[in-house]
Amino acid sequence: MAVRLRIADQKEFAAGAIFAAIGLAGSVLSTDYRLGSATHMGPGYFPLCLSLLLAALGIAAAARAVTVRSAEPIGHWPVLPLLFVSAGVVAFGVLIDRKGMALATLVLILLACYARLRRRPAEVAAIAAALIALTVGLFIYGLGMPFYLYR
Amino acid sequence: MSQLFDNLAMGFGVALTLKNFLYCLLGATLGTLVGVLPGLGPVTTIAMLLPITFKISPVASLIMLSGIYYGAHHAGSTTAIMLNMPGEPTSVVICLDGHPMARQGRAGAALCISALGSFFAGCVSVIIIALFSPPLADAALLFGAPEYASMIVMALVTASVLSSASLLTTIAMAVLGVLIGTVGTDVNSGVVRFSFGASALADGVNFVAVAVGLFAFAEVILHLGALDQRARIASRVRGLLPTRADLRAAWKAILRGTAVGAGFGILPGTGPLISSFAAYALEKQLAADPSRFGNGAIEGVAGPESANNAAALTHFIPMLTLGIPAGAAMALMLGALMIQGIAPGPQVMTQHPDLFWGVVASMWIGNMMLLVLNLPLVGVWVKLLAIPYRFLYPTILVFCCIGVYSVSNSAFDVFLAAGFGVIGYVFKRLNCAPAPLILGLVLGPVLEENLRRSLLISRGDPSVFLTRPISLAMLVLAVLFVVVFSLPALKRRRETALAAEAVAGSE
Repeated sequence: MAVRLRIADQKEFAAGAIFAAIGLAGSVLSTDYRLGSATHMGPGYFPLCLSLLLAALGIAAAARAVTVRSAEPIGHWPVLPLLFVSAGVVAFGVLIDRKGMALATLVLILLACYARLRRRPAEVAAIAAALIALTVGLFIYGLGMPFYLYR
Repeated sequence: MSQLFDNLAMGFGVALTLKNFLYCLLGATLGTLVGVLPGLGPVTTIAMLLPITFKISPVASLIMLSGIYYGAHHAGSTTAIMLNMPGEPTSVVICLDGHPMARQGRAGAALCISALGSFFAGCVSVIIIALFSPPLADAALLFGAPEYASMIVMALVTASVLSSASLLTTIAMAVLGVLIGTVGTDVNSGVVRFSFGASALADGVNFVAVAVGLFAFAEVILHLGALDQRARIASRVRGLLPTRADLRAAWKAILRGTAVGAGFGILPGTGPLISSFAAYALEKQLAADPSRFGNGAIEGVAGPESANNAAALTHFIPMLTLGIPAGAAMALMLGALMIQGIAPGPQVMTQHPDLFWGVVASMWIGNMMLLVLNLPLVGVWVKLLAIPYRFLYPTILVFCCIGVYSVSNSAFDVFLAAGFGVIGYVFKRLNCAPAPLILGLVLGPVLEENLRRSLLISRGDPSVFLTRPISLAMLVLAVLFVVVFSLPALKRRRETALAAEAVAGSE
């Protein structure tokens, strides 16, 4: 006999599941450290309590999401902005130590403006030039921050 | 009383140095800019500017950041009136009567009344801060470890309750924030927790990286995914002065709005947002002819705008006097202070009186500046609205990345910020508010410390939190908040307010 579980509030269910998972992971990791007692709390005591609390809240939220009436479907999430902005920031982090600020900023802007790159490359180039000039002028020359301009 | 004057005199002495005055001006201008521009909020801006504050003195940083905060609240109503587009979520209510006034050709009167109301509310709130903070801080000095722990729990719970309609997930966000705060070296035992071998994590998760990722990066990703909506109607401002009838109708609304805002602003969470809605509801209830509302009733602009500004200022009280941030922006400012080496709490007023009174004095100066910035320069701001988001967001991203990197010249922090950008985006999509997380992150270590001490003093007896009266009162208040705001009637109002915030926030 199959029981069909209709999850009305998908968003809360997903959130609850995430919290439960993090809580569970946290609990397991916390036991790696000495727990101690309530009077003399070891390093693992507080994180363990928090993780258990988090897991409990997550399970409660997920349970509530199954029973509640209001529907909140997860819907469609645009993935490209997430991918490109994250990639841009990560690229910045990778490049700034190895290749200097100018290149890092350039790559960040190119990745962040992915949408406009194909249709209006000149505009992106202008933004990049202006921003690089502005930030170099402000941070390296104006504020004297110890960044590599290029390597 | 004479001590109050002495303190204020010292405060003005600090605030009126050229450097601090200029930072106040910068903050107020940036705040107005940010309040007018859709897609950029005060929290994002504060997160973005955090790294810069490390190069300047704590007083100047706080003056500038607070200027951004209340400046943005002040300015959000400009676009609400002119373009039916709220610059800040707290200005949503102003659209209801402000825009009809603009369409009737009375934009000038609406803008003027809202600026005057805000200024009045600002002055009153500064006086409230000056009067009530010292006794509050004195009372707080009586707090022991259990009281502090309970107060933090109350702040986290209340902030969660007021931040989102879905209680369980929001409190979970706060707990998650506290949990993330445990990463790093445990002060008591010297053990490094949850570092997974990465030496960069031995000092804990970089607060600036989390703030920038959660608020700035996540916001940008969200906006890029949303559709472009451009406001079409831009009415011209003709004649700035309101009529005598306007003033007569509005002044009572201003008084009431100020009272409502001052009260709600102190509450942790989205007190400022609720205050403008509450003021509007109050005006509508008390009006002789409620049908005027929605068609250009001046009270519908004066009351909420005053409430808005009053709340923005009293929102600072818990942070400045008790060291408990009442919202995300306050948490960021608190973090900035902590990194500068100032331990926030009631002792700030006695150990760093120049900081406290300087900031209070600067709030008044800032309010004056805002009067000038918002009235004569209205046309400038409205023109700036034409900047498309596609020019704005690369600038935000670049400044944020450089800023985060510059805190410790650490690329790892940049990666951390990227990660929290993804996390923030996912959580926002799942209707989980990020503010409780940052509150938990900032308050977590303090909570653990006080919990430890409480249990040590009571020899492991957890009832210590309930037997001490102040601690018990805090916990009871927390429970009361949860119960009251879970009541169906209030829940519906909260959901409406928060839905409006979501709409405004995704502009």
